[in-house]
Amino acid sequence: MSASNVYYELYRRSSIGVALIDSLDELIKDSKIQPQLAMKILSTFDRSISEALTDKVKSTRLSFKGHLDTYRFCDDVWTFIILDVHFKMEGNEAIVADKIKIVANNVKKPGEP
Amino acid sequence: MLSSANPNVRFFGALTYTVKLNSDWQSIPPESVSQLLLQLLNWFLALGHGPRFITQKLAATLLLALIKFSESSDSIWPYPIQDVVISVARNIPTVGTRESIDDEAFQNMVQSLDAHDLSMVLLLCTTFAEEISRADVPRQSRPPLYKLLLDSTHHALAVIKPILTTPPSSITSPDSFYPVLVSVLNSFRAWTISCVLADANAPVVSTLASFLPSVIEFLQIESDKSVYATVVDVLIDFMEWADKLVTAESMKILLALFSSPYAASKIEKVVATTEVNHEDITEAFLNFFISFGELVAKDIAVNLGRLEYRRIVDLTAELLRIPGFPIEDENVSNRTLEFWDLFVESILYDNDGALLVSVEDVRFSDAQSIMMQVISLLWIKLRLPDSSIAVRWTQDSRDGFFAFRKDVADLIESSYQLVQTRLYSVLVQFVIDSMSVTPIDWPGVEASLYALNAITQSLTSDPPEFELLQTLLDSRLVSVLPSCPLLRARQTSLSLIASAIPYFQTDTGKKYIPTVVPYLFQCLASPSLALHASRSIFQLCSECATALRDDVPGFLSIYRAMLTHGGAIDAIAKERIAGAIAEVLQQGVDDLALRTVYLSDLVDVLGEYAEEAVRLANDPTAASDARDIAASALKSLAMVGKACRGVEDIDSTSTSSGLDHHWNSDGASGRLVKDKILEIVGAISHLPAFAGDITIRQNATGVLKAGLSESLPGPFTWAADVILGYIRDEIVSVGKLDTLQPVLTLAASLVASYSSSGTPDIHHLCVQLLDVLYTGALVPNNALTSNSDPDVNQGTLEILSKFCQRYLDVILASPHFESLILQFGVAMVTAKEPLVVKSAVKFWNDLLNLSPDSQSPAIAHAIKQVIDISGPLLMSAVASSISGAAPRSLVTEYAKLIKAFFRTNTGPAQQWLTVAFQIENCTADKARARHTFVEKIARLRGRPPTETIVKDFWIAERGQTFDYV
Repeated sequence: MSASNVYYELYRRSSIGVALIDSLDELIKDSKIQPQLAMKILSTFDRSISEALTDKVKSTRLSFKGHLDTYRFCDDVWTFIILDVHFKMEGNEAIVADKIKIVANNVKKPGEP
Repeated sequence: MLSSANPNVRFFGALTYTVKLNSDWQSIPPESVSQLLLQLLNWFLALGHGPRFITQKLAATLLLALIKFSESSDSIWPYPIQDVVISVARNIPTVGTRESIDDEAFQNMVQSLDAHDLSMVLLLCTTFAEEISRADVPRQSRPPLYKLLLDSTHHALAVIKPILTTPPSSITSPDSFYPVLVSVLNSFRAWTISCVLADANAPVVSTLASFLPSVIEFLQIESDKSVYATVVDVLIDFMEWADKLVTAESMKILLALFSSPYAASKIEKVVATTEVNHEDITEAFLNFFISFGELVAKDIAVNLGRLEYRRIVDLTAELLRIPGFPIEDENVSNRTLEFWDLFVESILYDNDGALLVSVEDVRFSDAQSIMMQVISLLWIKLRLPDSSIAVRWTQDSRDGFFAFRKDVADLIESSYQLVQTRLYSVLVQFVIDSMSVTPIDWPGVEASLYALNAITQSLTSDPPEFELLQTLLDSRLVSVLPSCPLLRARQTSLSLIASAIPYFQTDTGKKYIPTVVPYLFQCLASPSLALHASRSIFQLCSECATALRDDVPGFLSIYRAMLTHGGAIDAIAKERIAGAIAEVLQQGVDDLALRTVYLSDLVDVLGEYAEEAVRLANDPTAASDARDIAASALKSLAMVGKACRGVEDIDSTSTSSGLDHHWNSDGASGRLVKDKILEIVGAISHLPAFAGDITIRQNATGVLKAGLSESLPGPFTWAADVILGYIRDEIVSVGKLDTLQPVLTLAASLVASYSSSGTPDIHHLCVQLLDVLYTGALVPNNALTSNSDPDVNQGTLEILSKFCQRYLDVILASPHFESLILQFGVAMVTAKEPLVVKSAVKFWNDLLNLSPDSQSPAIAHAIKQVIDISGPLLMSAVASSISGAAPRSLVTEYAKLIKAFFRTNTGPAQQWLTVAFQIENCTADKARARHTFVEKIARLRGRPPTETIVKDFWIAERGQTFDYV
C-alpha cells in the first residue's frame, strides 16, 4: 500500500476540504499547477487533517440521545441514522436535530498492519 | 572550527558537518565519499580525548554519512566496526577495508585496546546501532543498513563479549572496569534491539540473547549506582522490545528477585523515606520493580494465586504507603498507577477485549480485595494539602498533583467494574466518617466526593448506587458544605451534583432537589463556583420545578444580589439562573396571577441590570462594561423567554381568550410585564452607544423570537406589528448594514411563524416588511455591485423564500417586483459567495416547487409568468456556471436548480438551456457534448443521476481529462 492511500479521503467533503478543492481547481484552471500536484496536495491534506484531529483537537464530552432508525455495517464502515437527536455538550449547551447520520470508519484501513 | 581551542566551537563544527550532510550530501561525487568518511574518522580519533559531547556528535556525523551514502551504494564501507577497531588501535583512520581480517588477529587487536580506546570503539558501536534504527531513516535505505548491522555483529561481539562474560566476582579493579562495563552494556542494548528490529529471527539475535543471563548477574554490583542503573535499563528494554529473547529461566530469576525478602527490604526503605534521590541503588531498583510489574501485569493477573506473583502485587500496594503528597513530596505512588490500570484490565478482559469477570472465580475476589485496599490507600493520596502547604508549591507541583488526581479518578472508574457497589459504599462511609470528627476533616470529605464523582459520572439507568447517594444526601453533608472553608471541596461537591443529575431525575432523587438547589444558589455568591453551580441549578430547576416553587422569592433575592454585586461572576452563569428561575415559574407555579407577579419581579431585576448598562454607557471609560452588561441582560431575557415557552395553560380556569386578556389587554398585569420587557429591549437597542452592535442585535432579536412558535398568548408572544416595528427601526433608523444579519433572520422567522395554517394572516405587514427590506436594506446595500454585503443579500433571499409559502402574492404585486426578483433574485444565483448562491438556489427551488393546484388561478398564472421571464436568465446563469465558471463546491447547487426546472418545466427548460449554451458558436466536439448533455438531462426530468451528469459535464467543460479528486 503506497503512503498516499493510507488515509481516508472522507474529510475532503468537510468545509475546509471543499474550500481546498475549489482553490486547487482554480490553480489548475489558471495552469498554475498540474492535476497531479493537486492530487498530492489532497493526499497531504488527508494525512494532515487526520493527524490534526487526532493530536490537536481537545477532547470534549458530548452525549446524545435519539431514536436509532437505521444501522448497517458494510465494508468496515458503520452507518447509523438517528432521529430526534438531543445533543448535550459541556457547559449545558444543547442542540436538537431531526435527523443525523453517523459514519464511523475503522481507524486502520482494511489490510493495514 | 574542529581545530578550535574552544570546545563549543568544536561541537558547532561537528554540528555544521551534520547539517551540511543532511542538506547537500547528494552533491558529493561518489569518488569523494571514502575521503569524506576518512576525514570524519580522522577527526573522531583526533578529538577522542576531548569532551565526550564532541566525540558523540562526531560519531553521529560519521554514521549519518554512512547512512546517507548507503542510499546510493551498499558497499561503501563493508566492515565499519572492524575498521574503527583498526583505526583506534593504530591511531590511523582506516575506511573501506574490503576483507574481514582473521578472527584471532582481530581478537588480539581488541585486547590490545586500553580503556579509553575501548570506550571510543564502544561509542561508535552504540551510535552505529542507534542511528541505523532511527525512525527517520528512509525506508528504502533500511535493508542494506540492516544487512550491514547483522554482518557487523560478529565484530561488535568481539568487542562486547569479553567484558560481558566477566563474572562480577572476578572484578578486581572496579574503578577502571565499571565505566567500560557501562559502555559495553549500552552497546549491547543498542545493538541487540537494532538487530531485533532488523530481523528478529536472524541467528545473531539468539547469539546476542545468550548473554542476557550474564547481564542479570551484574545486578549483584550494588556498589556502583551507574552500573546497576544501566543493567536495569538493559533488562527493561529487553523485556519491552525483545521479550521473546527473555528466557523462562531469566524470568524465573527476576521473579524470585522481586518477590524476595531482599525486594521487601528495598520497598520498605522506599516507603520509610520521602527522599527522592537515594544515595544507593534504591531508585534504580524501584524503577526496575515498577517496570517489571507493568511488563508482566498480565502474567500477574493470570497467576494471582501463586505466591511470588501475589507478593509483587502486595509490595506494589505497599509503595502507596509512602508518606507525603504525590509529585511534591514523593514520586513513587504516581508511578504505580500504570501497573494498577494494567492489572485491572488484565483481570477484567481477555486478550481480545472480552469481559472475563466471574464472581465464582477466586482470582476475581482476590483482585477485588486488592483493588479495594489500593483505592483506600490512594484515597489518602488524593487529599488536598493545607493552604499553608499549597502556597509553597510550584506551579509544576500543583499541575503534577492534579494530574495525579485525574489519573487516580480514571483508575477508580476503570476498576469499578471489578469492585462494584462495595467501593461506592466505602466512599460514602468515608464522607460520613470525615464529617463525624471535630473539626470536620474537609480534605477527607473532598477526596471521597472526588472519588465518588469519578464513579457517579459513568453510572447509568437507576443503579443500586443511587440508594447510597440517598445515604449521602440524608447525612448532614449539604447542610455543612456552605460553611466549608475549603473552596475546592465545594467545587467537587458541585461536580458530584452535576454527575448525579440522572439520580435527581428519579422519583426518589426528586425529593432531594429542594435540599440541593438552595445550596447551589448559595454557591452563586462565589465567582469561582458560580459557573458550575448555575449549570446544575438550570438542570435541576427544569427537572423539578414544582418542588421548588416556594423557594422562588429566595431565588429572586439571591439573583438580584448576584447581578448587583457579582461583577466577577461569569455572564453565562447569570443568564442560566434567569432561565432556571423562569423554568420554576413556568412549570411549577400554577397560579397565573402569582406566576405573573414573580415574572414581573424577575423582569424588574433584569430591568435594573439593564439600567446599570444604560448608566455606564454614558461614561466613555466604562463603554466595554456597559456593552457586556447590556448584552447579558438581553441574553438573560431571551433565556427567560425560552423557559416560558410551551404555555399549556396550567391554570385550568384560563382559556385562550383569558390568556389573551391577561397578556395583551391594556392595564392587565401580564401586559404590564410584557411592556416592561419591551422597554428593556427598546432602551438598550435605542441607545446610541449600542446602535447597530451585532451582539446587542443578536440578543435583542433573541428576546423577540422567543415566543414566535407559541400557539397561545404568553409573556413573550409579541404581536407581529411589534416585531415589525423593531425590524423597521433597526433597518431604517439605525442602518448599519454590515451587522443587519440578526434582524433579517428575525424577519424571516416572523414570516415563517405566520405562514402555517391556523396562524393570523399578516399580509398587510408583509407588504410593509417587503418595502422596508427593499428601501432600507437592498437599495442601500447596492446588492448588484461587487462590494455589497453578502449577509444582507443572503438574509434577504431567506426572507423571500419564506414569503413563498403564504405571501407570494405580496412579492408578485410589489412595485419592487422586477428589481427584487428578476434582477436581484437572478443575479444572486451567480454571486461570488457560496452561501448567497445557496440561498438564491433555495429561493428559486421553493418557487418552482410550489404546487400550482394549491394556488389561486391568479397566483398560479403569476408564478408561470415569473418562471417564463426568469427561466432563460437563470438557465443562462446556470449554463455559464456549469460550463466551468463555478467552483466545484457549487456544482451541486446548480444541479439542484436544473433538477427543479427540468422536473417542473421540462420543455421550456430544455429550450432555454440549449439557447444558453450557444451551441451554434461551439466547436463540433463541444457542441455535440453540450447537446448530448441537455438531452440526457431532459430525459431524466430531474430524476437521478442528474446530479452526477452535471458534475461530469462540469469536469469535462473545465478541460480536465480526469477528475483528480
